[in-house]
Amino acid sequence: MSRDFNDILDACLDRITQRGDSIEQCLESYPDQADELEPLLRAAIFMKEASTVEPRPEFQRMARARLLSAVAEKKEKERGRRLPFWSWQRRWAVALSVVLALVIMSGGTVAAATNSLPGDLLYPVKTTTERVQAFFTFGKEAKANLHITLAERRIAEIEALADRERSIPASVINTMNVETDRAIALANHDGSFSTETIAKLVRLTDEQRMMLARMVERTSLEVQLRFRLALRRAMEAYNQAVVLRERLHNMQNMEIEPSSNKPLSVENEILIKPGCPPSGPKKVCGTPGISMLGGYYNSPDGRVFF
Amino acid sequence: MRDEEVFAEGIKKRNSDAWAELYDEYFPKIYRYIAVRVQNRADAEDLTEQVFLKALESSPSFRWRGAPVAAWLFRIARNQVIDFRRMDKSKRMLPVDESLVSDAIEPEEAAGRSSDIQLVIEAVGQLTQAQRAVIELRFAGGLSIVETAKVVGKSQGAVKALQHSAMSELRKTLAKWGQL
Repeated sequence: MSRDFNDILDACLDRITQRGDSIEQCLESYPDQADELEPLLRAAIFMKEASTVEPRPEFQRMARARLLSAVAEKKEKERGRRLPFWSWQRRWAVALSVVLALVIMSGGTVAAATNSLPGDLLYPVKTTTERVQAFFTFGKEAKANLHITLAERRIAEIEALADRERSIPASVINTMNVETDRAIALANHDGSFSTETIAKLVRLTDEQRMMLARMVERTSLEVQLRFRLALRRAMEAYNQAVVLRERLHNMQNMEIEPSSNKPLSVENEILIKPGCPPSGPKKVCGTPGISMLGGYYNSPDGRVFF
Repeated sequence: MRDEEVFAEGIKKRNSDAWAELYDEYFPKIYRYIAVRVQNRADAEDLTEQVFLKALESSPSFRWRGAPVAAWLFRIARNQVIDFRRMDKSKRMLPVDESLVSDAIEPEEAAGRSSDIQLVIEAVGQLTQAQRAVIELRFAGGLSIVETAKVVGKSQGAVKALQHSAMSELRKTLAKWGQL
């Protein structure tokens, strides 16, 4: 087929789909090719009309707000990273002051802050203590273990906030994901972590996705979207943790117990969907799970898949 | 006319005006492109949002080499859908979810619209992989030939030829099914 005709067809497709011209207007411009063009353009119109699906305006608005807030957050962090030398000195000074304060204080305040939740008066003491702890933790595996501990704390905080029916700040959910991702990144980068650390990582990510799945079920629609995004991220983290464990087992030439968790795969699982699903692997009619809210499924043991 | 190089620089530097413009211009297009491939609203919404968040994550390493910013964004979307399909094989054969069609229209019309979408998806499914990629980006994504060529990594001439052969196949299929 001549290259000229490809150009003419493309020009007509642009005119019809982008500029709103009619088929007839286009055919008038290319009378010699009209017979060949017309059926293709009719098919194009059918295609274009059938592909017109629009996002829900309310979702588009909420996603826009979330994206722009993420842009601002990133920008803010970038500014923090580019602090001049004197600012670093100030940071050291702040860290040392906090250490001194911690030493001077009888421990009562710090102990009280340990159980505080986001929004409590003492919560900033808790997070500052954690930052100081991170500052003085050396070695990749030790750092990874600290990230795991901090992610576990965020899980406990989210659950406690939900139990008390208090609002759950996006920053706590995000911090939980970030701490987990950092632990995984360190494990991926190093490759010589102990079996215990990797096992902790698998347990953490497993616990995290279970908690997030429960949260998706029990929170309001607006908050659900936030949890669904966190859940997707947690599931990715879980898969990575399992891969890390398998890699370690292979390196040590050990057999993985058959009952151990495996990377998520829908094909190997029994899915419970609301009512009877039209198709899919091993159909089971069951009680509504969070599948109604975004493609996730509850398995009989309570785990979640997509 | 927008200066694409200046715009790309704004995206790279995480300028909030540039990101708002990127979102407003491409969110519906990315959504449509993803929706006709994953065939249900919840996944399409999730994945579309993920595309923009992933773009934001990787924006500092983004280098403008003369291609429209859309090409970069659609490459991320394309990879996102491929990863999703890899992880979610069970949904490949599910019928189109009617929720894809606007809530504002009557249920009967919605059923008709979703059956049209299903027809198109099935017709497009009979094309070669290269033809399908071009048609999805051109029709669902609303990309130009230049942008499509950048996303699929082919010359504009090759993309036009693929578009032509794909349209001929689609015409035959749709005519056979009594749609034309």
